[in-house]
Amino acid sequence: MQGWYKAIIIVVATSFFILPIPKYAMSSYPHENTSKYRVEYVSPESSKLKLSSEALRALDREDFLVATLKVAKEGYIPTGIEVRTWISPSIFTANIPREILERLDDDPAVVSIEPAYKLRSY
Amino acid sequence: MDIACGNGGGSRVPGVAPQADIIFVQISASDIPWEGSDVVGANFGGSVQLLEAIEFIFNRAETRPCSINISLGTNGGSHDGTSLVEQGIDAIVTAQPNRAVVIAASNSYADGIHASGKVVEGNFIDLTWQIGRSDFTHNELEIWYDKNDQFKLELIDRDDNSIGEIELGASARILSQTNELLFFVAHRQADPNNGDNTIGIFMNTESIPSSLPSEIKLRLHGVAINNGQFHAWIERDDNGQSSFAPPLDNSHTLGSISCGNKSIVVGSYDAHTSGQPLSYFSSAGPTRDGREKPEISAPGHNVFAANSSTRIGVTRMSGTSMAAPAVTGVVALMLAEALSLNKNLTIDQIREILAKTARSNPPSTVWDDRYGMGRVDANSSVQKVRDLP
Repeated sequence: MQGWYKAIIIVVATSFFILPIPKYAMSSYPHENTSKYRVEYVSPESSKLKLSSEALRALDREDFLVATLKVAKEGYIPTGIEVRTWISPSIFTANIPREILERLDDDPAVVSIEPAYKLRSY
Repeated sequence: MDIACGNGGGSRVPGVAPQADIIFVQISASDIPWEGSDVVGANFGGSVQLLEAIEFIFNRAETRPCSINISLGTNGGSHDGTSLVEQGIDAIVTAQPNRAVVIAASNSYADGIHASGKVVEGNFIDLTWQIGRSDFTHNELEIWYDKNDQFKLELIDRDDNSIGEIELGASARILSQTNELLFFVAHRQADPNNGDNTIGIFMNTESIPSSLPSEIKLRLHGVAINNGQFHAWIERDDNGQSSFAPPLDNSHTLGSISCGNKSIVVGSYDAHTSGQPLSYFSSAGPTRDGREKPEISAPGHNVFAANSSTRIGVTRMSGTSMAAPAVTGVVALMLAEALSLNKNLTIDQIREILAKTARSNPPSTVWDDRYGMGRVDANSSVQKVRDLP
């Protein structure tokens, strides 16, 4: 009877150690992970850009971003931007080519960028 | 529209300001998505088109008094009036007198879309986000907290296994075993409009439904805490709203564009029932920065209004969308009265008159988080304009 228990313990212990270790457990990710998910760190998006699912989709698929911009200097228009409508001296709506977003992030005269998001009726 | 300024030709009951001129705005066809997931619910355009429409209407009105009604919004955002749409509306209505923008509070009071709490340094708070096994539509969540705090987000699955941790300033993709993107998480430091920190969790709706978790625990660890207060909102999804697990905190449920400093935000009550109780759906304030919004409330429950597509020419509907136009009409009457007396009304004066003339009992308090300062009173509001020096 005792030998039967030993056999089970040996089988269980062996199977624990020989189960294949998932690939992601070997990644540089420091947190002990589960078998269902993997975390992949990426470079943060522009710090001036308000993120949303729609913005992420637009960045992925569109050549330009339709957005509202706030600038620090009244009347300032960053190069490469197509102004749609001035809302106030420092806020306007615009079409922003995707390739200049990084430059806008480094432009101290650009305060923030709010990509268009869908509005629904109440 | 009929509630605010209908002439009674369709419904036989005129709106609040039946002699007002009306400006309709049609968004440009080039701005309407014709294919892909953005087509759903796109009829009313987006935040950018809304700002452009407001600017267009006030430009067309020139120096004439003008009151704009908006019954649109979502759940997310900073809820402190610093979004660019809200800053834009504030700028437009303060640019010259005799302008007002009235916005519906939102109908999300009972939807379980808000959570809040205080994180203590070295400790954590758990929020449970219930997505639902058959909900494969848009799911998105935002957490906002003080600029002087540092949280760490840990995602935990329903079997209590840690999925991963995202530090302040980091962004991460959560992938399945088969390398399929499930979530994108951005833990953003210092929002440029208010300096606060924010966490955005975006579900990839194009992933295989069976691989998405139906419930996810969000553990907020207090790394360095001065204040600890946070608020979380689940984004609006009319095709399958996800929610927080009970107990629910239904405060701070105003819509994404309903927290501005100069807009007039309107809640809904039932004028057909004794005691004028609140509508169960009417969203609650205050704003995240503690301002008293909504400002006022109006009948928005079982309201009849013109609808040409019905056999009898009217339809009965409930929502803060029915309450807001009543206040828009009252503001139009106030502005018309001021014009007839050669007076100008600033947006601050309009807001003050509405608040001071609002009826109480209910509400029983000076400001109620859903009635606002009280129930709108058209006669008293117009009289107050006459009484102005």
